[in-house]
Amino acid sequence: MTPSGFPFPFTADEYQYSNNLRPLCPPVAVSVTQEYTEDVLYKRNLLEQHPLRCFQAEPHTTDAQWEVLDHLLHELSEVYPHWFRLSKRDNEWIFDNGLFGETITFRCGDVSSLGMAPLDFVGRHVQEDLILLTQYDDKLVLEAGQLCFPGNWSLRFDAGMPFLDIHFPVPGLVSGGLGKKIERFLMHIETGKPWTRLNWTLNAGKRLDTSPETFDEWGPLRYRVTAENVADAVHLRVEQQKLLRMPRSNTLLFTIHTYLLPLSELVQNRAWLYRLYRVLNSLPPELMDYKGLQAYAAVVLEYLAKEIEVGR
Amino acid sequence: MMTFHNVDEGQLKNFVVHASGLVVIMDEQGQLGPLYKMVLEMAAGAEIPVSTFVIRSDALDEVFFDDNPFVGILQSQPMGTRIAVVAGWNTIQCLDPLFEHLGVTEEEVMAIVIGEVLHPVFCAACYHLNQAHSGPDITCAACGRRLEVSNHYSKRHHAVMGHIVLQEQRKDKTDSL
Repeated sequence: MTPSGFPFPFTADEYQYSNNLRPLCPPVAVSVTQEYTEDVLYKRNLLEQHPLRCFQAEPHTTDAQWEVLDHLLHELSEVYPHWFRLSKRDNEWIFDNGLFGETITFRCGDVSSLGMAPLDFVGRHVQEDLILLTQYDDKLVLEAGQLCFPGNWSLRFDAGMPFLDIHFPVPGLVSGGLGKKIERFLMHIETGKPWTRLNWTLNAGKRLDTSPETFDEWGPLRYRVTAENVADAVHLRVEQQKLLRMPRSNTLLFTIHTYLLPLSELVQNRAWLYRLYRVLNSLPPELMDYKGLQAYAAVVLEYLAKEIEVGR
Repeated sequence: MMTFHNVDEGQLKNFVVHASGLVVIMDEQGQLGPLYKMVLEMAAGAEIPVSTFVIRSDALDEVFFDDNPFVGILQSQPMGTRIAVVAGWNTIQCLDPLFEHLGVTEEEVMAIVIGEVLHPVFCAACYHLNQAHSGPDITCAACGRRLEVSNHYSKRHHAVMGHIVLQEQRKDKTDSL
C-alpha cells in the first residue's frame, strides 16, 4: 500500500483566491492509502446508519452510475492488482477486494444483482466520496452522489442543484463571476484528460465526517482548542478533488479524497509550517468565517509562531 | 424562472433586449416601485412590443383558470417572447407552476421580487421543513434545535438551509453585544 503522501495544498506564501485546477497526472480517479480499511469501514457504517444523508441519485442516472462503476473497478484492478481483481464470465462480473477478503459476483447493468445502486456499491470499495454532475446545455447539475466525509455541506440539501447554486454560500465565488468561469471550464473537460485541485480548511478534532447534519457533535470542539491541546486537536484538512469525463454518458465524475494531518506532525516540515502560518495570516475575514476558523484561529497562529521561533 | 431580489440594470437590459416580444406582469407591489417602468423604457428603447398585465395578489387563484384571458395571451405568444414579472414573493411563487404548466422555460422568465423574500427553512439536522420566518434564526419545530436561517436556497426543497446554532455561538453573539 502506498504511503499516505499528504497533499500539502499551498503553493504560495499568502492566500490566493483562484481556480487552482491542474491536469491530473497520473490520470487515476482514486487512491488507496494506508488508511483504506479504516476509512472504508467508516464510510460503510455511515451509509448503513444514514442512507439518506450519504447517498442520493436521480433514477435517470443509473446508466451513468454503471459507467462509473465500470471505470473504477477496472481502475482499481489495474492500478492495485495486488489487492483488487476484476474478472468476467459471460455476463457475470466477479470483483475481488483482497483488502476486505470479499468476492462479489453481479451482472453488469442489472441493479438487482448488486442489491444497491451502482454508485453506492463502488463507493463502498474506495476511500473517496463520489459525485456525478450531469451536463446540460448551459450548466452542470449534481444528480447523484455518495458523500460520507463532507466539508460541511449537505448532499441531501444540494442534490438536484446546479453547480452555481451549490457554491452560492462560498464568499465572492458566484457573485464575483469566478464560479461561472469555473463551471465553463469544467464543462469543457474532455475524456482522458482529467483535472485535479486541492481544497483545504482546518478541523478541530480528527473527524472525516464533518456534515452539517452533525454540526452539534463536531462544532463544539472549535471552542475547546487551547494552547495545551492545539498541536494534536487541530488538523489541516485537505480534499484532493478530481474531475473526469465519462465518455458514454458525458457525465462528470467528481471524486474527493479527504486527508487529515495534525498540526503536531505538520510543523515537523519547516516549509509547511512557514507557509501555513503565512496563509492563515493573510486569509480574508469572510473566508475565515466561511471556514469556521474564528473561534480558534488565534490559538493556532500563536502555536505556529512559537514553533517558528523554536526552530530559529 | 430566474428570480432576483436585487437585479442590476445590466442584467435587466440583457434580458429585455434579447427578447422578440415582452410580457410584463406585475402586482400591486410591483406597480409601486420604479422597476417596471424601467423595464418598459428598455423595451421601448429597443422597439420591442410589450403586453402588460396587472394581477391582484389577493386573486391569484383566478390566473389558473384556462379561460382567463391572461393565460390565453401567454399561450399565444410567438417564439422568442420573454416574460418579466415584477411582484411580491407570494405572487411570484404562485405564478411559477403556471409557467411550468404552459411550458415556459426558465430562461424565458425573469422574476424581480419586490419586498421581503420568505422561504421555508430546511433543518440541517433532521430535514424538517419549517414554516417561513423573517428572523435570523428559528427553533426547528421537529427536533427543537436552534437554526440560523441562511440565504442558500434549494429549488427542489423550495426552502433555504437552516444551519445548527451551537450554544457556544449564541454565547459569542451575546458577548459581542
